[in-house]
Amino acid sequence: MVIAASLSIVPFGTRRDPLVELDRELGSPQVKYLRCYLHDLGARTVVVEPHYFDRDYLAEFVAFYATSTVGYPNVCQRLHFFDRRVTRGMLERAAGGDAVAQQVLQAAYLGHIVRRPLPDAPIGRTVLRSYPDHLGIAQGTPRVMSPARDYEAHVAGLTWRVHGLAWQQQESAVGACATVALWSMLHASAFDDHHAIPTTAEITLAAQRGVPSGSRIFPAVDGLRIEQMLEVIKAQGLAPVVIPGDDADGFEHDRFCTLIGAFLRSGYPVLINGKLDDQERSGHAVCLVGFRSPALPVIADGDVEHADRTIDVVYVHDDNLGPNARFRVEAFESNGQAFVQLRGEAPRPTHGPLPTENPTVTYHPIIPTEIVVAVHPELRTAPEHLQRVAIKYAGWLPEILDHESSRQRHRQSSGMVVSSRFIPWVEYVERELGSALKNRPAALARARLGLWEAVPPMSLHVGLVRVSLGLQPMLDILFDTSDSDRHLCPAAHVVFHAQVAWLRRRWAALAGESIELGVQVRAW
Amino acid sequence: MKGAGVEMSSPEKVATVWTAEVATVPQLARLDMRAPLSGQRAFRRRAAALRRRLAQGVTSARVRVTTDTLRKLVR
Repeated sequence: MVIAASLSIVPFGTRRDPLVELDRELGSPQVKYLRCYLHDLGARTVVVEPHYFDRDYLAEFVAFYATSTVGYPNVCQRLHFFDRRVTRGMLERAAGGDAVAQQVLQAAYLGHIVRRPLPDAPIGRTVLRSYPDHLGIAQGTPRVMSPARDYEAHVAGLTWRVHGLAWQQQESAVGACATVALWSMLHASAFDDHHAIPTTAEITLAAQRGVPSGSRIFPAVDGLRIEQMLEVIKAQGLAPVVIPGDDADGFEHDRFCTLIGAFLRSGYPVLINGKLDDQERSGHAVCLVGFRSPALPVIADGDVEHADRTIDVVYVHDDNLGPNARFRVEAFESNGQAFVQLRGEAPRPTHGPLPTENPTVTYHPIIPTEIVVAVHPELRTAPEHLQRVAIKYAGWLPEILDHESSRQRHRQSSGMVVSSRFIPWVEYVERELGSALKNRPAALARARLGLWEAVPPMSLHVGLVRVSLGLQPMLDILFDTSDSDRHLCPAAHVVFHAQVAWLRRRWAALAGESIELGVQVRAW
Repeated sequence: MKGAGVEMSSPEKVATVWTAEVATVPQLARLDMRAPLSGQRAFRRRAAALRRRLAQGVTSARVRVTTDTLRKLVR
């Protein structure tokens, strides 16, 4: 019988802190990572919910632990972290409806960790806020964490919200690292309107149902094959995309960066299958959840390049470490070619010395060999193909700008960047255009009505290619994504400057041929 | 899917390719849109070269998924 118990309030980092206890007992890299991460987030208080029935753990319990003679309990603890001192009085005021106390607690809330009653793998569903990004924002290279979403924790009539993406430690009875990476992936914001999130037990069952491995289902000690991961994605009503590396050594640098940039910007986490650069070169799967926007590349006049090809920092949910672990994208040479590897890197501590050693810095580099992504089934365009046609349909603009600028004797840089992603059609019209044309209401109205009235019906998700001069948007090219790649061509383009429309006409007059970009929508 | 996907932990708006607001661009503003056509022959050569270069990019070989890829085991 589970007996009622009070919430306890414990100062973070003290002997009574459950993470300190776990570090003492296990010394696992996951616990050490979480202690360092929360320390650097400025955690000061832990509110311990003594009894919490966790959906994922209950599914694991039903699938495996319930029938063990060990007598595993079915109830977990949940730890809530705050970056300020929290007192019992403050909790009582908030629970009594005091709006100020509620706001203070919400503002200080850093997220929660479910503590499973499993001695070897106690860290269950974990959702933590990411670090503040003041420096990245100031430098124009903000963190992009599109797959993150809001989670709510309900405690004594209070609702605490945190923005992040769920992570958990692998427990080898019901799931493997690939199971946990898939589980995080299927939590993504992109699927908010789509489906219920499967538990790790459901993922393992779906994998074995689609492609039996020949071995027993539970305990799931054999891991998953890539084809099983694809079956899991299909079982969720989503479409799997698998993209292999350039050869057995993995991905060429620019290709890897532009691919993950396109997926992550679209809200789709990227499951990386790869090799740990340890002695055994063992296989390992992690889930990419974000990246730091790179600085704009320097581009030759008249040329066009992908904006994301220089991504150098990614954020990874790794079941060997923890959530949002920072990895640097590095190149290594093999047979005369440069391939990508991801090397763990701890950010500089911002709240004094770390309480324990940070396992990120001694972690083996990961060499990605395949990318697996779940996308909406209606989205039929391959992102790699969209990237290729993006350059094809954008290349004319810097070329003609360079020509006209030099003819009119204005020496100025004319190199442009192109960036592509997928976005729901309505979100493009509402949010994307609303943001780009925020201070130009007349142009915004013309563009929105033009898209609604002059463009043939568009697919639910559109391929969006933005061509920019420096940071300034020149035009957006929109692709219908509901047909096969062979027929992929622009359905419409939104022009932000009169001169861009003029340059397109100029190209036609000079080159003797027009550029087919679909319906032109005026946004100036 | 979220807008530009840029996490804003500060109220100020950071300009990136996906978040920049459209503004007057000096490079474009300096262009004389009534200028006569010139340099046609040179431009046609340039356009043809660009076409060839871009066509090559679009048709470049895709890396194929093989059975070996699909059977890779991840523990």
